[in-house]
Amino acid sequence: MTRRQALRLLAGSAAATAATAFLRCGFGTHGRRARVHLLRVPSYAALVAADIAAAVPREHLRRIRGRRVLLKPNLIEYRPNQPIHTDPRLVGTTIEAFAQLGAADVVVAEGPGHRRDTDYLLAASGLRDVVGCAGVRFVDLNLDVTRPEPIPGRSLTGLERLHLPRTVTEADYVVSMPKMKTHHLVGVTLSLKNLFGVLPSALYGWPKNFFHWKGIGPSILDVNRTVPVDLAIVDGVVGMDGDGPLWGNPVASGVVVVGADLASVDATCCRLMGLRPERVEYLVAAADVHGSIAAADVEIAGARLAGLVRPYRPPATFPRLQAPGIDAGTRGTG
Amino acid sequence: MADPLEQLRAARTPEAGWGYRAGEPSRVEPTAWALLAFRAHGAPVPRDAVAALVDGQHADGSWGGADGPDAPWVTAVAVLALRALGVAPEPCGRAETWLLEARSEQVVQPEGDRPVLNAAIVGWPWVGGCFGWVEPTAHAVTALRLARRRHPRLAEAIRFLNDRRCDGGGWNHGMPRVRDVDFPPYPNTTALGLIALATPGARSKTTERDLAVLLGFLREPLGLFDLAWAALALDANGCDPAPFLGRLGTAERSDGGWRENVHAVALAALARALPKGHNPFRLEAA
Repeated sequence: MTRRQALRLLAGSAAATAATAFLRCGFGTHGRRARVHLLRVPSYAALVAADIAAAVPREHLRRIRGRRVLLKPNLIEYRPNQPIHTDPRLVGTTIEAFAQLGAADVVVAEGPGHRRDTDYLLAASGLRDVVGCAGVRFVDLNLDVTRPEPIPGRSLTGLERLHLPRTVTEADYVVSMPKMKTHHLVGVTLSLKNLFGVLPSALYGWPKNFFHWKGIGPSILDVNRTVPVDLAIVDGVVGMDGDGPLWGNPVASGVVVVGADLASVDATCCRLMGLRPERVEYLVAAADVHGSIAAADVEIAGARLAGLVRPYRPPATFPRLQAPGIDAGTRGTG
Repeated sequence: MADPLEQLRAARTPEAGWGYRAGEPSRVEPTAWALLAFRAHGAPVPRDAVAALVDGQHADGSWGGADGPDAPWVTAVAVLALRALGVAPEPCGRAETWLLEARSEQVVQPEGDRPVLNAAIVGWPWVGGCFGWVEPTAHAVTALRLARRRHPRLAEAIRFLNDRRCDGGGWNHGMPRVRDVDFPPYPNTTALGLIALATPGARSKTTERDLAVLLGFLREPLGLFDLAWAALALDANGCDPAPFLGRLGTAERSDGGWRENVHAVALAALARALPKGHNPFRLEAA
């Protein structure tokens, strides 16, 4: 049984538990230790492909070598000088990292949420130049051929299946590459929420409003149980706080976060942001499937977490997200 | 100039229509725009592709949904294309009736928030059971206006588009502001709003402002999709589409086609036919 098959099985059996957790909003832990790797990256110019390759779990290497890898950055929208999207330089460095690890094919794919002209987003953001220079394909997931995939276990949205892009379902290894941001509707948007971008808008509409009606939290959980993601690489070099995910302010966090357990990765990101993961409802519910969010269950590798904490202002809609003793108004330089 | 229709011929799927990418299974939107491109250039319209499009209609008059490859919003796109082609009047009539009965859901404005929009006005959603958005509503309004339909539902949808206009003019996907933040307009939705509300021979100050917003997008590195819709919208409002047509020209490959998805290539081919006087989205005076 592959890890992807095992994850699907786990997702199915844990669905009911996750649903219960979603309602009771307890402290998410599933008793298994996760490993999250922190890379100190003071600027995008300092990105090193070998460092990212070294942060990929060793046990994943045989599933990467000779296989098709899909990188899913966040390109929901573009606005000049606004850290809304995953920086193309991180995408480019990650392409290089997976080439070093022996991937046969790397595809960059995203289904932008707002503007339909993906070609504009690629040009304006600089991602087109990056994929062009690297000689890899970009696939607009909004328009891809789709296939129905059953949601394992008890669906939290009430949907029996999700229509997923062929490029995603046929990938051997999927990497979620979000931007580290606050989110005015769910608290934070990180590697789990980033999966909204694989849902094809030609079928579900721009801006994926169908899933807002189904509930953003339940939709995050359902799509993550249906699309087994192998790895998260979070762009926290410059993140966004306050009124994210579109109108917040840049925060120079100087970190890239890498890990295979997405809830653990996202919880660690919250701690790096000076926010409380246990106050993010969907993250608590996700812990049953996607890794513990309890700090004690997460082994930090690479750089020390304490040295990389940069206080993020929570969205006005989530004032209680901020961790005790953290004041975003006195954001340090670390 | 080389013939962009060659690119569309080469991209066609064996079973009849066009997918979003060359050779992929047929989808309604790229098929509809490709058929209109052939007609606009005076080329033979592939009859089997038209038949396949008509065959995709459900008994209730809609296209898409029911676990198929498209969502119900394409109903307006299909009927728009078939009406412009002057074929399948009975299926078009059923589709228009379906559109007039379809409604988006209303939203509840959170208490204390600055009014974002008039939630009582209903447009069309992308998918049934959801909120209304600018693009599906604009397509439906254009289709129903071109079909010379008169109906309270159409009048309401026109109010919907006016309500969802951004403060400075133009439209985004349909959310002019969220809480206290004004959201900016986008090119293709501004173009679609302008096409849907175009009035032959008359331009209001509001329309002039929307047109100015659209022309402002020339500063951005727009893709084919936005450029084509912008050109079509200018023409539909009696303005010279040359600025956007010029940009389409600079994006051409050496063989006269474009490196883009099929629906965008088809729209660009449609825009390219504007100097010949063909714009299927232009409402003529009654």
